[in-house]
Amino acid sequence: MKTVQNNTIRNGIKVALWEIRKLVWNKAFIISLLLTPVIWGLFMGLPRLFEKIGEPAAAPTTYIYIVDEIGIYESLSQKVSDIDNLFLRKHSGPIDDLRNRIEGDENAGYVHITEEIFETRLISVMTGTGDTHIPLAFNTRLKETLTRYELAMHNVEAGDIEKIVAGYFVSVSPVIEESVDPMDRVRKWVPPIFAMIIFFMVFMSGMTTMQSAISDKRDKMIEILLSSVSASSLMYGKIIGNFFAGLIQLAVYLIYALMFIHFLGIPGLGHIPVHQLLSYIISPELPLLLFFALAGYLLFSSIYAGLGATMEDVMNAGNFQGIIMLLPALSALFISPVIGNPEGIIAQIGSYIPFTASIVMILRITLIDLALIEIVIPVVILLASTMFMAKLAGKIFRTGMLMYGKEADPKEMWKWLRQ
Amino acid sequence: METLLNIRNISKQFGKNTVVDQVSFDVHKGEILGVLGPNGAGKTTVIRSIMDIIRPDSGEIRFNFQDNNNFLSQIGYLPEERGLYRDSRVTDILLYLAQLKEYPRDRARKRVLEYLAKFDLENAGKMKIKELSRGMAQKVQFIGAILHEPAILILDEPFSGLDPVSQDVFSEEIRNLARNGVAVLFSSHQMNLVENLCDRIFMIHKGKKVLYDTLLRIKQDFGSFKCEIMSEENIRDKFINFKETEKIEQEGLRTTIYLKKGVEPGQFIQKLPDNISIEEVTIKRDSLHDIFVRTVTEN
Repeated sequence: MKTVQNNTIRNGIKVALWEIRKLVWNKAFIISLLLTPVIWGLFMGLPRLFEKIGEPAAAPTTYIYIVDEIGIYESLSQKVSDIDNLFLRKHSGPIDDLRNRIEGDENAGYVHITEEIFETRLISVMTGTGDTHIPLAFNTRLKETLTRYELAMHNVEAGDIEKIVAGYFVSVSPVIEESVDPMDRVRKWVPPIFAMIIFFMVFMSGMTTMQSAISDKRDKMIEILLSSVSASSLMYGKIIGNFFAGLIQLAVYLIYALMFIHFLGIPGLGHIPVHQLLSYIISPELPLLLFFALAGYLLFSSIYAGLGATMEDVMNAGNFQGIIMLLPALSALFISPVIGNPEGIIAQIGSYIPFTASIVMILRITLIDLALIEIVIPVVILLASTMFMAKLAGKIFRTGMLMYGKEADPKEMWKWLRQ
Repeated sequence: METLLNIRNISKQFGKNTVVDQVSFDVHKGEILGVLGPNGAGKTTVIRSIMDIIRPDSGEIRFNFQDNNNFLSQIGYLPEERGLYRDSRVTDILLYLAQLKEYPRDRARKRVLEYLAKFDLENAGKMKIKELSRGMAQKVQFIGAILHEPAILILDEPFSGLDPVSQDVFSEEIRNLARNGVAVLFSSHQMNLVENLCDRIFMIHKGKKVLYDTLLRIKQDFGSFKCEIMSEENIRDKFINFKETEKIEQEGLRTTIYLKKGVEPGQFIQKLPDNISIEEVTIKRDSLHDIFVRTVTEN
């Protein structure tokens, strides 16, 4: 018995090494491995590039003439000095001359500031044409300057004027004081993002495992292989091999991502040293998160390996196989409700369904502190389901792989399971 | 004679259909055993049972190797439904197959080169399978089955799709292997090749054993003689009343007279009528093909 187990493990490793080699030395795999992050980067950078290309041409230079009857020109001039392409000019002659001068000039305008403004509360900026561009910042600064002037007229002290002009800032905060360090968010979300990426990669590896089973059938290799190794060794070898090939892919992408973050930083947070980011990945929750990611992978890749044995081609998969293939997508339905309420009934149900437990538990562990029992039950359910599913998949794999030229229907699969 | 494989009373059912029914036979070291049977007779199920690809419902399959724990590594197998990874290189895939059979890598590498040379594939080592012709790929599959020096070699329709020159190369290699002590279990529908190669025959029909003996004994026991006469005349009528005649077939200039069981060829020759013109006459035992067809039809 022990020898049989040893042979199964040894042969499984041989198959796994072949699968890794077959995949990793594949030209298409290498090209996609190296180019995919570049393409991602390109797609992330393109919108910014398009934004830049699509940005309106630099605003035209605008001259605003100030007819100042109250003496605020100097202070206003200082206030607007940082506004691009805007120049103030003081006008002291007749208004009509000014009107004649700017009429039809789309780069000019004027403001007549009199005491009357404080009564009417209306400031009119007259422009040369209907298209003359007056920066919004000018309007704001003009209002600010007039407010200061008005407050000074009412003998408000300079310090108070600043306070009044600054206005109020409304802040919303929880009762319990939280750290405002934005790095805390990074620290909190890096491990689950890492685990989710692993889950995604291993899900993709599951698909590769299915493709590998299909290619063994298509290339008629299966009987030759089964004459040397057991169906179990072959199936587990494929699952493990494709998993490690997926990890190689993940490692390369991770290196790309770390290089990106190291050199370009994270938008809004700036430069983060690689060692700091790595220290966030290695958190106390990481082993648990990895367990849920890996158990989920084993569950799905077993299903996919078994499924691959029942079909000649993914394109010709039957309805039943199609539905099974979509099982991992079930998790997507739970993501939003779980983030919204990680302790809610949806989150709890999702934790106990083997097909959704991985994603739901990764989110819940990250978002809240779960009681031990709330972790143990999903762990047990997921482990038991994975072992059960691997056994069923093994039965389907063994029989399905030997069936040539025909897709298996659910009735046949049921028969194989009962054998 | 050293027996390497004993099969005792194996049976296998798929649903309500019994595809193998109480089948027993042995395979000896250095012999070539032909496994014959019409389509659906149960040959592949028996072979897959030997290879542990499927498990018989009852009966026993026993290997007499020094180490039976990893018996699969001592068997070479060329299945009927065969192929190779299309995108892999010839040498890589052969080394992988040898590795699965626990064969040392350095020896495998050496033998790969030897066999590629032997089968005129010296330049194919680095080629991908998809770049090979069908015949070349079949040679590579054959090399994959024998590379690890198996004690038992199971060949299921090894000659299908091969040109006559390659058939001769394969036949010679199979004989060589048997001479070197390999037990060969050989399944084919090409009766002339089976007749040329096999020492013993095991024939299965509707899951049951119907013939099992040496080729000579089977021919003695089940095959009578037949006389083929080439003549420009229509000589058929001249033999209709012969009491030694079982049946007569005429095809062009050739008339084949099947003699009844027990009729001696010399006795028949003496009775040939004087008044017929004979261009050519041959007397031989029924071919394996005739025995096969008759056995299948009678069963």
